[in-house]
Amino acid sequence: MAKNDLQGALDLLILKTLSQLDSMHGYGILMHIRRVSDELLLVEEGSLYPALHRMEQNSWVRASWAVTDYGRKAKWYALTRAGREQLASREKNWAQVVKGVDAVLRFA
Amino acid sequence: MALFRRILSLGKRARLEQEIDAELREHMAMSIDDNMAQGMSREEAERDARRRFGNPTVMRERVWTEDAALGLGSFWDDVRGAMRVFTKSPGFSLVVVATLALGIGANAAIFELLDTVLLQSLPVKNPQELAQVSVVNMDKARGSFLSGYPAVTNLIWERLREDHQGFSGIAAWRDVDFSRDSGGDARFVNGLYVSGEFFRVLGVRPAAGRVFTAEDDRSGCGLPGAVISYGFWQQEFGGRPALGQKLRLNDKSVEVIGITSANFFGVAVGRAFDVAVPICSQPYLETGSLLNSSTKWWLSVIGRLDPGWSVRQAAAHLEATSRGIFASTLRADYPPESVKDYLAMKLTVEPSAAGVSMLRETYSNPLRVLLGIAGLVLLITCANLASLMLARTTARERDMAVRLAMGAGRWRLIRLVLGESLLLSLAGVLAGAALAQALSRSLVAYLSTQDHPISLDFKLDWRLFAFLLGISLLTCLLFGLAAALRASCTPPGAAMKAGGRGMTAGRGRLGFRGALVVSQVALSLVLLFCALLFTESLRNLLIDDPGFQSRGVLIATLNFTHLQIPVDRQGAFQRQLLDRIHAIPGVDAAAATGIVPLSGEGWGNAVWIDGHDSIQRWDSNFSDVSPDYFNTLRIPIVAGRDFNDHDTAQSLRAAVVNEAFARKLGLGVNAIGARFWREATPSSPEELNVIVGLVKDTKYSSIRRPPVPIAYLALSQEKEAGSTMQVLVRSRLPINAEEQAIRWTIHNMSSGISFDFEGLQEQIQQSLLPERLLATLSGFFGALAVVLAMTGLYGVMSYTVTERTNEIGIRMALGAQRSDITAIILGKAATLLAAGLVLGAGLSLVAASAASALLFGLKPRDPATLAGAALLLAVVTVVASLLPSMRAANVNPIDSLRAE
Repeated sequence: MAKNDLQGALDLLILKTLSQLDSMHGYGILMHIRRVSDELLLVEEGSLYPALHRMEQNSWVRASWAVTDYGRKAKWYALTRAGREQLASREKNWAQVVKGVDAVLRFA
Repeated sequence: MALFRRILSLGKRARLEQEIDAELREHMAMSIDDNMAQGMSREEAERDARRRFGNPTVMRERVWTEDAALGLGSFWDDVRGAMRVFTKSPGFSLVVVATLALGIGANAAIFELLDTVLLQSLPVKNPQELAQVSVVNMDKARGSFLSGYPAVTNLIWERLREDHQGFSGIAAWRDVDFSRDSGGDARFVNGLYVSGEFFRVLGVRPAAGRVFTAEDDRSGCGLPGAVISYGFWQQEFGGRPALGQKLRLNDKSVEVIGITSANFFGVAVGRAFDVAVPICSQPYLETGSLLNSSTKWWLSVIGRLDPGWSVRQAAAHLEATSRGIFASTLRADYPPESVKDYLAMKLTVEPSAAGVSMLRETYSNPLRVLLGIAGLVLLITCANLASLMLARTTARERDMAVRLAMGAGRWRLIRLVLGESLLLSLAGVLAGAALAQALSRSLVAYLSTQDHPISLDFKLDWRLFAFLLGISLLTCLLFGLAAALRASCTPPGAAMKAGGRGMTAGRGRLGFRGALVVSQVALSLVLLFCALLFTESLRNLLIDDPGFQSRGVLIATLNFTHLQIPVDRQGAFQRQLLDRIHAIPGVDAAAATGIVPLSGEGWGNAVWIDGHDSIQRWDSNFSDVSPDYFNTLRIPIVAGRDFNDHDTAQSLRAAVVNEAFARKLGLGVNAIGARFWREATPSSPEELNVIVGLVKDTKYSSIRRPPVPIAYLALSQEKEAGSTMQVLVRSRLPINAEEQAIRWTIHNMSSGISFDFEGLQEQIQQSLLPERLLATLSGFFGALAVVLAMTGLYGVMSYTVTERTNEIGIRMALGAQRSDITAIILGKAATLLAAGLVLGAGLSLVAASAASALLFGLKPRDPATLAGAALLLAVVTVVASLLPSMRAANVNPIDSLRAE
């Protein structure tokens, strides 16, 4: 079994979001996850920003300052090649976690 | 990019925090905007956003930590952590730093010497443009060779000065001793004859006054002035104004016209000049002009290449014009039969950025070997420290396990341990560099003697810094990496278990430490073997029988130039001096000689048997001696007679030859009465000699070479005696009393005679300095290596015993005898030792054959020496492992099991 930590879920969500949106700021990522999951998944700011900065240090995402549609200056994040690779492996990993958890739940 | 930002962020924490603040502030703003868009009032919207966001300061800290966690910021944490380790265990750190300082200090000292003697450029402007002119086939040249460096005649130099295509400037020089006394004990200064442009070509500026120009160096110039070195100015004038002051050189007065800049010592590394005078002053300062002779080779030529000319181009040009140069410089004094050879000689150009050096010739090989040896010692030191670090890491396993369990990464642990090693090795390098300064200076003091002073200008240059930096990183990796890797491999679970110790020791761990010990033993064997080889080689040289007895013989060099005795009475005066010395009570024998044996002086000519064609000639060595020479040196006369008073300028030249000469003639004892010719020389025509005596073989110019054919001629039959003489005096007096007695005797004859003394045996030992240096230092390093190997093995064996205490306890509980336990531990040590010795023997043979050129009287693969070294090492290491094995035998089974 791969190293299947449930904590990795947040990273997965962020990476996936960035792959769908190309480039987004922290607030946008938050909103996207909330909207797409029908408000089932509420990511906290306290987890989001440390995660984003960690990914930046690991060179999974790169950041730049740009102006939003509403005229605010924000830090925009986008996936790097390493980030894309990371996403692929995380997705595969997640599928196994789901399978594993499912099997435990179904055990009669 | 990320790394770049991390480096930038080191000093810019404030800016990074601002950026994080800005990002979070914008987030809040967007959140508030959204809330208001959904219909909340401004206050409500802000409250809601803040509630969701939490404490902004805590948030900022958390984000900052993420940014810094992988950054260099934590590097300082590592360093701080390592510092904490130092302060916690100062004893350990001190031992490590001191050991490293010794190893690194020895390396740096030898490297510094090597750098100064071999590598550094001359302290002049653009030294890489300098090149020296030399004769390619000097062996064909005839005449007197008055310089130890590549040299040409003054006539050739004058041609080069006129036409020096390829050089923007060209200069000539020669080092010489000027006497500063007018009788009594001889005092000398290091003099230089220089051409007018010498200082300008080298780009040396005066610190005061002026340097020579071409105007000063015109033939017949007399003594227009002297340029002194900065060092001589300080020493002689104490830094007081010296311009216009008078100096006495060779009994002539000369005015100081300039002082060179402080860093310029001349062009010969190891021999700093004191006083320089123009070349044209030579006939004025010495008897006999060297300026118009084509057989006096005395001037070294150095030039500065034209921009756009390479050394190769200049060499090609000079070789092409050589024929014209030699043809135009031939004079009537050149021996006719060698004229063809003279005209065929070629000049060439070689790079000379580092100047010239006698030291370089003598010491380059010994220094390289010593650097290799010192490097090995450092390797052994590192092996020892690696073992030590490993033991410490093992002791800190729980600490590491806790760190791992708390989420530290492997890389983080490696960095932690490497950080400690780095700090230790840097401290070691600093201490070692300081030590090296003292060591290299004492090495020079060791090699320098009163008669042959060495002056070296140690500079801290980039090579030394690069060497030190390289060595510190290397040692850090060598001794720290194993421990670091071990630390990162700690399985957290296993180490956290109580006790953390199994019933038996893990094989792998001792395996690595065992490998360290094996390599230590192997390297120590190499060092010990080399040390023994060099020591034995020195001993062979010291006890070597040169064929004469040097003990108790004093060389007195007398100079009566001041007395201005006419040439025709010089011979008689010399005999009178010799008789007076001989008459001193306590003096057994005294004789004059032109060539002091084993002093490096030499005189060679071609000879052939009378009646044979002169084509069948061969080279012999010569010496001119007074009667009683053979008695003075205790050289047995095999047949015939010694020289006597009947050998005069009017009679046929008598010769005493040694057995090697007679063998070469094919005559043996029957050589007496045979006649041979000596070839014409610049100062004399062909000469017929009759052999009147046969003596035993002796060594001639160097103790390292076997005896050669020698023909001794009678000094009394020389046409010109000269105003200097070397007298060998054998006496029963202590050396000081003898010198004092000779001083008195000579002083009573005339106060205008100057004299200088040196023991013959001391002079011979002096010539063995390179060997002595090698033997002493390699012996020291060898001993150091043995001690290190001993502590290495002791450490590993003690560790093994501690680790296997339980096992030993169980064995004893099950009935094992104490002798069995001792055998187990000693067996382990013996295995390591044997493996090390086998490996070391192989390495030794390779190393020794590389050093074979430096050995005398024994083969590099001398099996007895190797066996001796191995035995010595074995005994010492077995002793080292006895203590741990005895401790193992004393293990109390009850205690050891209860401890579990």
